[in-house]
Parts: sequence; C-alpha cells; structure tokens
Amino acid sequence: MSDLTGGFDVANKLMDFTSARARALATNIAHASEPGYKRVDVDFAALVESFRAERERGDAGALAKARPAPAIDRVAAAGRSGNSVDFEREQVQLDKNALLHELATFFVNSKLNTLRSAIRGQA
Amino acid sequence: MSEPVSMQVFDISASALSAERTRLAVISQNIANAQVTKGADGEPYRRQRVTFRSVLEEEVRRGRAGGLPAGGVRADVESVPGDFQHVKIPGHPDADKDDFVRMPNVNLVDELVDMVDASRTYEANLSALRTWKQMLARTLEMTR
Amino acid sequence: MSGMDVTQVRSLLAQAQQGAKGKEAGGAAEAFADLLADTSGKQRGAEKAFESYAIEGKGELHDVMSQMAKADVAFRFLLEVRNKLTDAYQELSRLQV
Repeated sequence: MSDLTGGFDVANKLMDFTSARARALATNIAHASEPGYKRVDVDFAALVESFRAERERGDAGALAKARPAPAIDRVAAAGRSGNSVDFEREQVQLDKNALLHELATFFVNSKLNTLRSAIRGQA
Repeated sequence: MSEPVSMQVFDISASALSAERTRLAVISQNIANAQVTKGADGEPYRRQRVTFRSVLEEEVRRGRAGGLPAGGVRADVESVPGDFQHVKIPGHPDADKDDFVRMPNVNLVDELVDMVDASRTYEANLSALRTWKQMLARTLEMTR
Repeated sequence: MSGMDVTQVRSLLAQAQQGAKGKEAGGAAEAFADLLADTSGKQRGAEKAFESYAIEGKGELHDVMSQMAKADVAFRFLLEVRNKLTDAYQELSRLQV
C-alpha cells in the first residue's frame, strides 16, 4: 500500500515551499520600483536538510517539521536607489518556481489517480 | 546548489538579460549626457562603459556574486579614461581663452551601434529563455 | 468483483492451484506475483526520481516524467491482468460445480 501512497508527504511539503516562494516573489515584483526595498525569498535549504535527515539519517518526522521561512535576501546586490529587486531575475524565479510547483502537483494527481483506480478496481 | 541544472539555466539567462539591460541603461546615459561640458564635478561628462564578466563558482560560494548564478554574466560599469575632445566653439560659457571647449568623450555613432547590439543580444537571450521554459513546460505535459 | 485486493486474488489462485491438476494455475500465480513486484518497483522508482529531482536537483525532468509514465502504465496493466484473472477464476469456479 505504501507504494501507492508514498511520496505524498514530500510533494506536499514541496508545495508548501513553492507556494510560499511564489508569494515572496510576487511581493518583490510589486515593490520593484520602491527605493530602499530589499528583496525577500524563501530558502529551500531547510526543505533539503529535513528531507535528507528523514531519508538518510532516519529522523522520522523531520520532513513534517520543515517550514518555509520568507527572509530578506542578504546577498542580492542593490541598485542606486537601494532597491535590490532585479526585474528579470524575479520573473525568472517565478517561472522556475511555477514549474517545480506544477511538477509536484502532477505527481500528487498521478498518485491520487492510481489510488482511485485501485479502489475502483479499474483504470 | 541543490537545484536541477535545468532550473539553473533560467538564472543564467536572467543574468544575461540583466547585464544587457544595464548596458542599455549606460548607453542611454551616455547619449543623454553627450553634450554636458560641465558636470557636478566641474568636468565634462566622462563616457561610461560596461564590461561583462563570467560569474565564478568560487564567488558564489563565498557569497560575493550578488545573487548571480555560477556561469552567469556580471556587468560592471566603469568610466572610460582618456582625453576629452577639444572643440572650438567661440562664445561657449565653458570655452577657454582660445575658444576651445572640452567635450565629453562620447561618440554618438558608437553608442547607437552599441545600442542596437545590446538590444539584439537582449532579444536573443529572451528568446533562449522562452524556448527553455516552453521545453520544460512541454516535458511536464509529456504524458497527457 | 471490484474492490477485491491483490492478496485475496493471490490466495484464491493458490487454492485453485491446489485443486487443479495442471501446472497452469501455479504458473499464473507466480507470473502475477512477478508482475506485482515489477509494478511496485516502478512505482518506487518514479517516486525516487521525483524526489531526487525536485529536492536534490539530480537528474533530468524528462527522465522523471518518463519514469512516472512507465509506473502509471505498469499499474494499469497490473489492474487489467488482475481483472482478467478474477474473471477467469469465476469461470473456473462455475465449471467445478
């Protein structure tokens, strides 16, 4: 049975992160012209770490505890007005993020369809 | 970085787009200031130019890449050194005793040629980015 | 017959094997077990591919998608085979009376 339901938790947690990131990026674009505004982003390192902790070090529940944390990007260079939003870069991050989110959605849908088929007894 | 290569490609294209946009902004500034004989520092406007450099992995690791990806492009703005042009304009407020005025070292023709190139490169990168995005989007739809 | 799960079918097939005189029933049970294992393997493979790509950045997107597609097809096939087997078993049990 776990073959049919496995992977849900990872996909769902990933979507938590991609949703949070989408919000952060949208905020950045909204403030793209504001002097002094510093871009925010969500670091996926927390997700990667907790995934590895759970899978490689057997720390059960590590993945469930991972939370996306929007934070000010300290590395991004600021322009003359002190604004650190690079319009092209922000757009591209949105695209990347959307693709990843869509992949996770596809995976979840695929699993759900498989489960439904199994319950119905037919494809 | 624990990001798939296919995702990193996006960032590399984005850095190229930013770099070309910086280049275009600098060109616009040069053109706008081509006749400025006395700037804030009392000197004629000095032409700015953009130099492109590859972002090194080492820089990214040390956090000195300003958020740019390894393999991406970095545009640095600098002043072009050299003498100003001496043009004879009698009666000009900034003319010296021999009626010569020091003009900015901006050549409009060069700037316009540069502008066309920057514009085309920007489009090329944008096209590459869109194509890449479409490819990935289609891959996601592969099974439909 | 829908909603019958795989372990039930296997035990039915095992019973049929004991009652039958030929080797065919046993062969079917074994083949089905192999198919089951293969399908499970493909499901796990697809899951690992997804996780590897999405979380750790390893591999290519098209590989993930094609593994998921293969796992899906394998599962549908398994379902078809199971349904055919249960239909065949029903036929068999009618004959035995």
